[in-house]
Amino acid sequence: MQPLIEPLYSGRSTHEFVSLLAGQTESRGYDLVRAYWQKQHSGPDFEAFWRKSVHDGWIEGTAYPAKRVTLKATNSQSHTAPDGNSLEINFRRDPSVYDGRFSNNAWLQELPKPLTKMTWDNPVMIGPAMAERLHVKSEDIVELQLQGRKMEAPVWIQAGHPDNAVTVFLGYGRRRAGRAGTGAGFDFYPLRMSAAPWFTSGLQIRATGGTYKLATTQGEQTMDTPVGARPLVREASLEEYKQHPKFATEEEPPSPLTLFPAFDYKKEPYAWGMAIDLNACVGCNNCIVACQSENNIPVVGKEQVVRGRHMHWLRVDAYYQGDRANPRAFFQPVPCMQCENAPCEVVCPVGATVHSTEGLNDMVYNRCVGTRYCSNNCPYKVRRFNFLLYQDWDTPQYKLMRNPDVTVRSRGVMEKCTYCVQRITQHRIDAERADRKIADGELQTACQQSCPANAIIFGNINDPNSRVAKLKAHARNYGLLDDLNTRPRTTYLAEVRNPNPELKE
Amino acid sequence: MDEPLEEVEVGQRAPVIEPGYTFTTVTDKISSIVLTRPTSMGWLVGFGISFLLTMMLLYAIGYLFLRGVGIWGVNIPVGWGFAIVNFVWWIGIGHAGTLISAILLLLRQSWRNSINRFAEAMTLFAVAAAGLFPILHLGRPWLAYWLFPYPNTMNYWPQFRSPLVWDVFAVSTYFTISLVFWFIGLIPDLATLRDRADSRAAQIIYGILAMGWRGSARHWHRYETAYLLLAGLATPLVLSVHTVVSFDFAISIVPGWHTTIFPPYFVAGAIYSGFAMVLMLAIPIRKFYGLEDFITERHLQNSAKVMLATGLIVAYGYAIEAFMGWYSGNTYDQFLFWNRLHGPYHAWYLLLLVCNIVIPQVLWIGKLRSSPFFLFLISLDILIGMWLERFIIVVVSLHRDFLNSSWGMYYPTRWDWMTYFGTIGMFLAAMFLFVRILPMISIFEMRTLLPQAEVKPE
Repeated sequence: MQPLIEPLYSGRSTHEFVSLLAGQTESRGYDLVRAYWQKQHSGPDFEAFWRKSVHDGWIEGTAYPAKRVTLKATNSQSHTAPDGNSLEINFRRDPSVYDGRFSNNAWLQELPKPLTKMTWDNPVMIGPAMAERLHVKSEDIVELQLQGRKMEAPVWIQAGHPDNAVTVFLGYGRRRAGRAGTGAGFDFYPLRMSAAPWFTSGLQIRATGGTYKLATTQGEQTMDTPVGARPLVREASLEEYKQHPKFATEEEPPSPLTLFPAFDYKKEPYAWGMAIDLNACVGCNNCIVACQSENNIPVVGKEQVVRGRHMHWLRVDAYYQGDRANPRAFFQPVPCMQCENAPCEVVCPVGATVHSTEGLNDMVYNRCVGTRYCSNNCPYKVRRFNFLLYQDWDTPQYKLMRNPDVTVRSRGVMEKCTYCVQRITQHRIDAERADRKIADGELQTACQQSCPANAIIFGNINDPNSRVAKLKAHARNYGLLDDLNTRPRTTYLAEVRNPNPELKE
Repeated sequence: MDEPLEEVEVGQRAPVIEPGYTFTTVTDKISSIVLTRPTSMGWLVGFGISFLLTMMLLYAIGYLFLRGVGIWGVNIPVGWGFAIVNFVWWIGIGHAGTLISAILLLLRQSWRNSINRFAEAMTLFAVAAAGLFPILHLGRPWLAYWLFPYPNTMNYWPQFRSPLVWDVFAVSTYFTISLVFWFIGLIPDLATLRDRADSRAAQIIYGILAMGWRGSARHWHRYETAYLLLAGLATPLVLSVHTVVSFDFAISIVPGWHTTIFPPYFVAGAIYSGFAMVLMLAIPIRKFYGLEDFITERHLQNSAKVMLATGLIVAYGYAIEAFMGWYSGNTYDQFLFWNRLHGPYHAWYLLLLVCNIVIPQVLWIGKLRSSPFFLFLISLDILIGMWLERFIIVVVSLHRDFLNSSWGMYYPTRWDWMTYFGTIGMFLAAMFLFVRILPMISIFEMRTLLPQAEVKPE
C-alpha cells in the first residue's frame, strides 16, 4: 500500500471498508495498515522499518521460497488431417486482448491486430480459397458447427491463411468486462473443449447470408493496383542486394525544383530524423501503444473506426504481395514523415502547421481551425482529426493517465506525430543547462523506446556519427513516395530477404 | 422607313418583348405583381415548404455546432465531403447571374434586361448559401475569422500561400460586388414602387430604399456611369472567383486535383450550372406570373445555347482529364482514372457523364430549346450533373490517393443531406420573398426595349 495521493473519489479502501464492518469508524487505511505492522513487527526500530517498507513497496524477508519444478511429459494431442467435409479449427489467444483478461483495456481493443488490422472484434479467419468455395466475403456471417455446438460469427478473409482450416481468437464476447470490453466481438470458448484446447477437426461451416460490420484501420492490404504495383515497401533478395546494393533508390528523388533557396538545416545544431528498418520490424504494434500512451491519444470506439476516424499517430501498415494463398507479408510503421517540403504546411490558411528550424513539422493546436486541408494534402495520410470531442475532459482518473507534457486536444483540431517534441524539448533544456549537446541515443521517441526489435532509430542527422545518420547513409535507405519531392525526414531501410531455399516452393 | 427591316428581324427570331406594350403597361404589369396582386395560395405553399427546409437547415447547423463535424460523413482520408461539394456547386450557380448582368451588359446584349434582375438575386442567394459551407465545415467554426487578416495583439496573419485564404477574398469580394450591383440596379425601380404604392408603410420602406431617386437627367447620368463601372468591376469576377475556387484543388498534390485545366473548366462548369438554375427559376416564374411576354422564347433559346456551349467546354475538360491521366504516365493519375471508371463510385461517374454530356446534347434540337417543359427537365439534369461533378472531384479523388493502406470510403450521413437540402430551402425561400416584395424584372430596363424608346434621328 503506497499512500501517495489523495483519493480521487470519496470512496473507501478495502481496509477501511472491512474495518467499518468490524465496527471501527473513521479510521484511515494508512493508520490501519501501520497499526497492523506495528503489532507484527518485533524488531527494535519500527519507524525505520515502516518507512523503508513503504518506500520499497514490500517487506523485507517476506518472499516465498523458490520452488523446484521439473518438466513432466503430458499426453500431447494427436493431429488428424482434416478430410474434405470437415475442417480444422484453431483456437488462438487474441493478439491484443489475450485470453480476454485485457478486454476492458480500450487501448488494446482499438489496437489494430498485426495481420488483419482489425479493432474491437474477432472475426473467424479463413483463407481466400475457402472463401471462394463458401461464396463469402469478409464481414459475411457464417455458422460454425463443431460436435453439435453451433455459433455464428462474421468471417475475415486473411491472405495466406491455410486452406481447410479456420482460426478463431479467444478473449472476446465478454458479457461483463466493463465499459470497453462488454459486448465486443464473439465468444468462441463454447466451441472449445478441454480435450482439444488449441485445435481440432470436424468443424462444419456454412454461410448464413447475414453481414456484420467490422472495423479495420487499413483500407487495402496490397500494394497492387490495376495499373501496377506501388513501390511502398521495397524489398530484394540477398543475391539481388549483393548485385544492386542501391536497389531501393533506383529512382532518384527529383532535385529541388524551386526558385526559392531552401532553408539550410545543416547550419542548425540539430536536424531530427528517423530511420525505420523494415528488416527488423516484426509488426508487433508495441510502438502504437507506446505512442498512444506518450501522446495522450484518445480511443474513439468501434463506430468511429468504421467511419475511418481512428486516432493513432503511428500506424503499422501490413501488406500482402503475390499469391493470395501464400503471399509475402510486409509491415511498415508509418509515423509522420516530417517532410522538409511539407505539403500540409502550404495549404493551411491559418499557419497552424509550420516548420521548425530543427526540421520538425509542428502542429499548433491553439491555432488550428480545422479545415482538414492539411490532411487532404498529406500523401502519407498520417494526420488525425478530432471530428468529435474524443477526449474525456471530466473523469478525474483520466487526468492522472495523461502525460502532463502533452496537450490534450479538443474537438475540431488536427493532430499528428510530433517526433515526441516534448521529449526533444526536455532534453534540449537539460543539455543547455549542462552546456553540452544532446548526445546520440540519449533522446528516444516513445515508439523507438518500446520497439523490441530496435527497428526505429531516431536522432540528429546533422551529426554524422549518430546512428540515424549512419543508417540514412546506408544503401538500403529510401524515402516513402520520395518522387513527390516531399523530402521526408523519416526514411526506411528496404527489406532484404534471404529465405531458406529448401522452404521455398 | 426602317419598319420592313425590323419585321424581317422579328420574323427570324422571337422578340425579347412581345409587341403591343407601352411604357405604362410594362410598368403596370411588373409593379402590380408586388403592389396589387394578392398573395396566391401557390406562393404561400411554396414559401412554406422552403421555409420549413430552412428551419431544418438551422436545426442541422445547431446540432453541428453542438457536436462537431463528426456528425457528417467526413473522415481520414476524405477530409472534405458534402460541405465543399455544395460550396462549389452553389458558388458556381451564382456565376450565371453575374455573367448576365455584367458581361452581357458590356456586350450590349439587351435581351438580358428581362432576366438580369432575378438572375442577380439568384447570384446573391446562391453565394449566401455557398458562403455558409466553408464556415460550417471547419472543426472550430467559431474561429472562422482567423482567416481574415485582421489586426491582433499577436501580429499574426493568415497564411497567404493557402488557397483557402484566397477563397475568403474571392468569395467576400464577389458577394459584396454582387450585392452593390444588384441594389444600385434596383434603385430606379424602387422609386417607381414608392410612387405607386398605396399603403403608407410600403411608401416609407420603398422610399428609404430608393435613396431619394427622382429620375432627373443628372440622376440618370450618374446612375448609368456607376452601373457601367460596377459592371466593369463585376466582369473579371465571373472568371476570377471560380478560378480561385478551383485553386483549392489545383494547388494541392492530390491526384485528380493537381490539374492545370481546372480554372477554365471550373468557370465553364459554373456558367453551365448557373444558366440551368436561371432556367429552372425563369420557367416557373414566367408561367405563374404570366410573364411570357417579357421572358420570351428568345431568352429560353439563348440560355439553352449558352448551356450547350459551356457544356461542351466541360466535356472537353473531362476529356483532357482522361487524356492527361493516361499521357502523364503517372501511376497515381492513371489509377485515379481507373478508379473513377471501375472503383466503388463508378456509378456516380457514369451518371455524371450521362447528366452533363450525353443528355444536354438534345439542346442541338431547336424545337426542344423552345419547349419550357423540356428545358426545365434538362436544367434539372444539368444541376444534378454539376453536383455530381464536384462530388467526383472532391470525394473520389480523396478516397484513394497515394498509400493503399489509407484508402477509405465516404458515406454521407443524414446530417449531410439535411444541410444540403436545407440550403436549397433557404435559397428558394429567399427567392420567394424576392419575387413577392421586389420587382423581379427590371422595369426601367424593360421600357428601353420598347420600340418607342428608340431615339430616332431627327
